Amino acid sequence: MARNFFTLMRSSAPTATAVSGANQSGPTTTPPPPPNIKEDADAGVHLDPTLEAVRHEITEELDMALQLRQVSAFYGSFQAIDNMSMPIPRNRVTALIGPSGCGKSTLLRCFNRMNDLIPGARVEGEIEFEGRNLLDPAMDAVEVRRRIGMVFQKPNPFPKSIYENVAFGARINGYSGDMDRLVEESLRRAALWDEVKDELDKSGLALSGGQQQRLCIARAIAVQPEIILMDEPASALDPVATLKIEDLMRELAEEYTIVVVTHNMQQAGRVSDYTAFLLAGEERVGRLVEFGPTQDIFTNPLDQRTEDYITGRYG
Amino acid sequence: MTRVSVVAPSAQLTAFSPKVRIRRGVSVAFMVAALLAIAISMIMLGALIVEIAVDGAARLFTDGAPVGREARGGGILTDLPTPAGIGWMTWALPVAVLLPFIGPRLINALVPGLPQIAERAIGFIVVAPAAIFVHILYVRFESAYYVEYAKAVGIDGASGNIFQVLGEASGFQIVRLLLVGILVPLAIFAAGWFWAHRMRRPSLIIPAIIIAGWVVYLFMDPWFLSSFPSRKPADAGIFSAVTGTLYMMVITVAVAFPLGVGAAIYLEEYAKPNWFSRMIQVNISNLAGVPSIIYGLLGLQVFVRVLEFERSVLAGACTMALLVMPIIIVSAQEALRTVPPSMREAAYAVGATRWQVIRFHVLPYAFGGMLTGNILAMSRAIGETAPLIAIGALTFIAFLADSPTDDFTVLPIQIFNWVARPQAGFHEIAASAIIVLMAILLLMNAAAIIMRQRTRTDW
Amino acid sequence: MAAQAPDGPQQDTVRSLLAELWRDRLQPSRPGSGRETPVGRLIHGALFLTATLSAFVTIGIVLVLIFETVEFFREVPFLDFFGSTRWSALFAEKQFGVWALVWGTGMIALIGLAVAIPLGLMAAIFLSEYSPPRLRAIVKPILEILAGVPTVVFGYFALVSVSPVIRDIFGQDVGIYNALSAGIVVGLMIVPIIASLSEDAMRAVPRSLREGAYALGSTRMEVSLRVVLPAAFSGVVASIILAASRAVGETMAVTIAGGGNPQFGVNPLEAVQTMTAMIVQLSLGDTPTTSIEFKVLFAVAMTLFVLTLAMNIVAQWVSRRFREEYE
Ligand SMILES: Nc1ncnc2c1ncn2[C@@H]1O[C@H](COP(=O)(O)OP(=O)(O)OP(=O)(O)O)[C@@H](O)[C@H]1O
Ligand SMILES: [Mg+2]
Repeated sequence: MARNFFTLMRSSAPTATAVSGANQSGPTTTPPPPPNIKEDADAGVHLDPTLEAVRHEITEELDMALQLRQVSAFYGSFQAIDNMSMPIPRNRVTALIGPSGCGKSTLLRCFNRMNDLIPGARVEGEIEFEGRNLLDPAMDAVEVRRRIGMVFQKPNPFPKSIYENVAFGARINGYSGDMDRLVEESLRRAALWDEVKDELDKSGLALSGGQQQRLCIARAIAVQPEIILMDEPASALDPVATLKIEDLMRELAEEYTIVVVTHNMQQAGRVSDYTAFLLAGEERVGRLVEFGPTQDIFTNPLDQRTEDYITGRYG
Repeated sequence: MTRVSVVAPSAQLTAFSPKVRIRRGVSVAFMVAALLAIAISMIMLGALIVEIAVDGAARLFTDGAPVGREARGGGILTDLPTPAGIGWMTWALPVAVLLPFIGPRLINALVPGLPQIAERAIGFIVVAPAAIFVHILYVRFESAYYVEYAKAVGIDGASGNIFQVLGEASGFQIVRLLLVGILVPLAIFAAGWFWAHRMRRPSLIIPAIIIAGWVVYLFMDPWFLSSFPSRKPADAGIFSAVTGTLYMMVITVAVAFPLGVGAAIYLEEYAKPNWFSRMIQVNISNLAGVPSIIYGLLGLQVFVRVLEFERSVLAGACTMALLVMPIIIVSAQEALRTVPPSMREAAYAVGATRWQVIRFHVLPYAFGGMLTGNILAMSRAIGETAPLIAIGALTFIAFLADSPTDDFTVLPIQIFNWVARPQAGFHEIAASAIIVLMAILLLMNAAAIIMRQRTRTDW
Repeated sequence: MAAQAPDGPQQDTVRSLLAELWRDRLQPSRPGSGRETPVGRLIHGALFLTATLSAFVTIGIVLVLIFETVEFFREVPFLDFFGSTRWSALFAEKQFGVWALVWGTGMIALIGLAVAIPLGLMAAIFLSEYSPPRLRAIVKPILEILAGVPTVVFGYFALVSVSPVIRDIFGQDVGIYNALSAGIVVGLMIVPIIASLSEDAMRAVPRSLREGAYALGSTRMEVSLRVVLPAAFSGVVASIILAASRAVGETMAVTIAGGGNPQFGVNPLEAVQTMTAMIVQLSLGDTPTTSIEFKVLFAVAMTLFVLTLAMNIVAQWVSRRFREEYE
C-alpha cells in the first residue's frame, strides 16, 4: 500500500468531524501565515493554521502505524497537550523532542492508554490504530497495551529473576509456545543474552542500569508488540550503554514501529527517521510545532522555534 | 552485535492467546470480591455499632420525663429534671466561644508586647479558672443541684456558699469536685480556646461538636452515669467506673508522658548509634508486641506486691503507664524526627548548648505531635482490661476513691463484669457502658486528629 | 475517625512501630555534642535513665515470669506441663498439660487468621490498587475505627451477636460459648492490622513497577497479584505474623466468648480456653500467692510471652530479610 501522508489524512479518517477538520486544515485552503513561520515557509506545507504546526512533506512511501487527530490530554483541569495531529510511520523510528514539561511523556502515554491509570487524567481526540480509534473507551486498554509496548525512562525490572521478567508478559498473555526459546530470542534481540545467559535465575534488580534497561526492552518485545514506545530510554545510562540501546533501536525498527522521547538532539538525529517537535506555550499547554523527516527537521526547520531549539538557543 | 532472526512475528503471534475479555472479566470479579471483603468488615463494624446502640440506648437516654430520686433509690443528679442542663449551657456556650477570643486581646491590652505563646498560656491559666468560677457561682444558684452534688462528692452539710464548702473539703475532695463537676465546662472551654487559636481557617466543627454534645446531654439519663454498681441491673450505674477511669488516666499520663518523651528525646537527640541505643530501640518495638496481660502480671508482682501499692489506682496506673510507654516513645520519636536537622544546626550555629537547642528549638515544634501520640496512647489505655484484671482491680466499687491508694474500678472492667453475668439486664447496661466508653474514645481520637492537623508544620 | 484524616491514629502507631523495626540503624550523631553545661549533663543523665527504663521493663517481665515459673517447676515436673494435653488446674485432681491451652489459643488464632487474612489482604489490595483516592480516604479511617475498638467490646459483640447467629446456623445444641465466635471476632479485630500494614507495604511498591506490568498488557488483577503482591511480600507476611501475634495475645474477647473449657478437641463449635483466658480466670479468683494455681499462671504466661516474642522477632526478621530494595 503506497500512500503518503496526505492521502492518508484524507482517506482514512473514520469520523466526520475528523474528516472535516482535516479538510479545513488541508493545504487547499490558504490561511494567512502565522508570524513565526520563516520566510521560506513555502518549502513545506503549513497544515493547520490554528495549531501553528508545520509539517514537512513525507517523500517515502510508507504505512502509518498510528494516526493522531486532534489529541488533547488533561490532568484534572490542567491541559497538558492540545490538539496534536500527526502520523506515526510504520517500521520507522519517530522521535519526540521538546523542552522539559512540553508533554512528550504525556503524548507517549496516550499511545498505549497509560494515562488511564492516572486518576483524573483524560485524553480527547482520536488515535487511529489499524482502522480503529484506540482512545475509544470501548477499545480494550489491556489489548492495546499488549500490542503497543513501552520502555520507561528509569529501568523498572520486576523483582523477579531475569527469566521471569521476560516471561511475565508472555505468560499473562497466554503464550503457548516454547517459553525458553522466547526468553532467549527476546534477550538476544535486546542484545543482553550473552551477558546473562548463565545467570537467568538472578534477580533482575541485580543487573547494572544499562543491562536493566535492555532487560526491560527484552521484556517489552517478548509479547511481540507492533509498536514500542520508549520514554527517554537512555537518560539513566552511560554513553556506552546508550550507544548499545541506540543500535538496538535501529535494529528493532526493521520489524517494529518505535516512538522514542529524547532530550538528546544528537541521539534524535542518530536514531530517528522522523521527528516531532513539541513546545509548551503560554499556560504550559504543549503543542506540536513541527513534524517531518528527521533530516529535514534538523537541516531545514520551517519554524523559527524549532531551529532555536535544535541549535540550543532555546529551552 | 549479532542479528538473530526470530520467528516471523505473525507466526509467533498465533502462539499468544491473550483472552483479554476473560481476563478482564476475572479482574472485575476480583475487584468485586475485594470490595466485598471491605463491605464485610464494614458491615460487621456496623452490626457491632447497631447492636450496642440498640441494646444500650434504652438505659442511657430518657424519654425526657424527670427522673425522681426515690424511684431509683439514690444518686447525684437525680433530683434534677434533665433539661436543667440547659441552665449552665446558657453561659457555657457563649463563654466557651467568646472567652478564647476576648482573653488574649484583654491580656494584650493590659500587658502589650508579650510573645504569643506566653499570651496564650497566661490566657489559659487566668481565664480558665475564671470560667470555672463562673460555673461554680452558677451552681450556687441552682441549689438542689449544688447540694446534691456536694453531698455526692462527700461534702456534707453543704448549705452555705462555695467558700464554706471548699473550707470543709479535703484536698482530694476538692480535686474530685473539680474532676467530676468542672470537667465538662472546662472541656468545652478548652475546645473553644483551642478552636480560637489553632484554627488556621476558623470552621464550625468545634461549635458543632459542642452543640451536638449539648443536645445529647439534654436527653441523657443522668442516673446511669451517676450511680454506683448494684446487684439489680435497673439500679446499677457507672459512676465509680467513670471516675476510676478518669483518676487512672490522670495518673497514667503523669507517669507515662514524661518518661516516654524523655526516652524519645534521649534516643533521638543524644544517643550515639551504638549497640546500646540499637538494643533499646529493638527492645521498645518488642515491648509493643508483648500481650497486655503480661504487663498485668508484671504490675501484680512489682507494684501490687513488691512496692505494696495494693490493688490501687496507683498500681493500675503504673501498670498502664508501662504498657503505653512504647507507643508514646515511638510517636514522640516520630514527632522529633519531623524537625529538620537544619533547625538544630541553625541553633548550634549561634552557640546554643545541646539542651538549649532541644528545649527552645526542637521541643516546641515537636510538642504537638507528642501530644497527639499521648492521646493515642491514652485511648489505648482507656480500653485495656486484661492487665487491670491481672493486678486484681475490683469490679464492685460502691464508693469513690479518696486517694490514689484506694481500690478502684474502670469502665472496661465494669463492662467485662456485666457481660460475664448471665442475666440479659446486665448485658443491656454493659452496652450502655460501652456507648459511654466508645464516646470517650471517639472524642479522644477526634481530638488527636484535629490536633495532628492543627499542629502539623510544613517545612 | 474523621473522613479527612488519611491515617487513623491506632494504625499509625503500629505502622511507626513497624517502621521502627525496619530502620536498620539510628541516625548519625548530631553536631554540637561537645559542649555541655552541668545542667545539660544532669538532663542528659535523666533522659538516659528514662531511655533505659524500657530495658528494665523487659528485664522485669522476664524476671517476674522466670521467678514464679521456676517455683512452679519445683513442684510440678516439666513433663507434666509440656508433655500432656490435659488441664484441670482448679480441680482437686490437678493436671497442668499446657498443650490444652496452647491448642485453644492456636485454634482461635487460626480461625481468626482464616477470617482476617482473606478480608485483610483483599481490603489491602482494593485500597492500594483499585480504590479511587476519595473512597480510600473514607474507608481507611473506618477500618481504623475497627482497630481502636476495645477488645472487651468485641467480646460483648461475640457473645450477644455472633454466637446466636452461629447457633442459628449450626443448631441450638451448640453452646453460647464457643471457639468459632471468639475466633471470628478476633479475626475482625486483626483485619485492620493486616489491611493497613499490607496496604502500606503495597503502596511502597514503586509506581514504575506497576506501569511496567500494565505496559505489557496486564489486567489490574494481574498487576496486583503477580507484581505488587510479590514485591510487597515481606511487608505483607510481616503484617500477618504481627496480626497472628496479636491474636495469640488477645485476652478479653476470648475470655468472654471462648468459654472456659481447656481441651484438645478439633471442633470449633465447642468451648475452649486460651492461655490468656486461663490467666484471667485464675486472676479473678483470689488465688493465694503461695498456691500452685498462682505459680502456674506465670508458667503459662511465660509460654505465651516466649511464643509472641518469637512471632514478633520472626516478623522483624522477615520484613528485613525479604525486603526488596528499590532506589
Ligand atoms: N500525573 C500528572 N498530574 C498532573 N500533571 C502532570 C502529570 N504528569 C505530567 N503533568 C504535567 O503535564 C505537563 C507535561 O508533562 P510531561 O511529563 O508530559 O512532560 P515531558 O515533556 O515528558 O517533560 P520531561 O522532558 O521533563 O520528561 C507538565 O506540565 C507536567 O507538570
Ligand atoms: Mg517525560
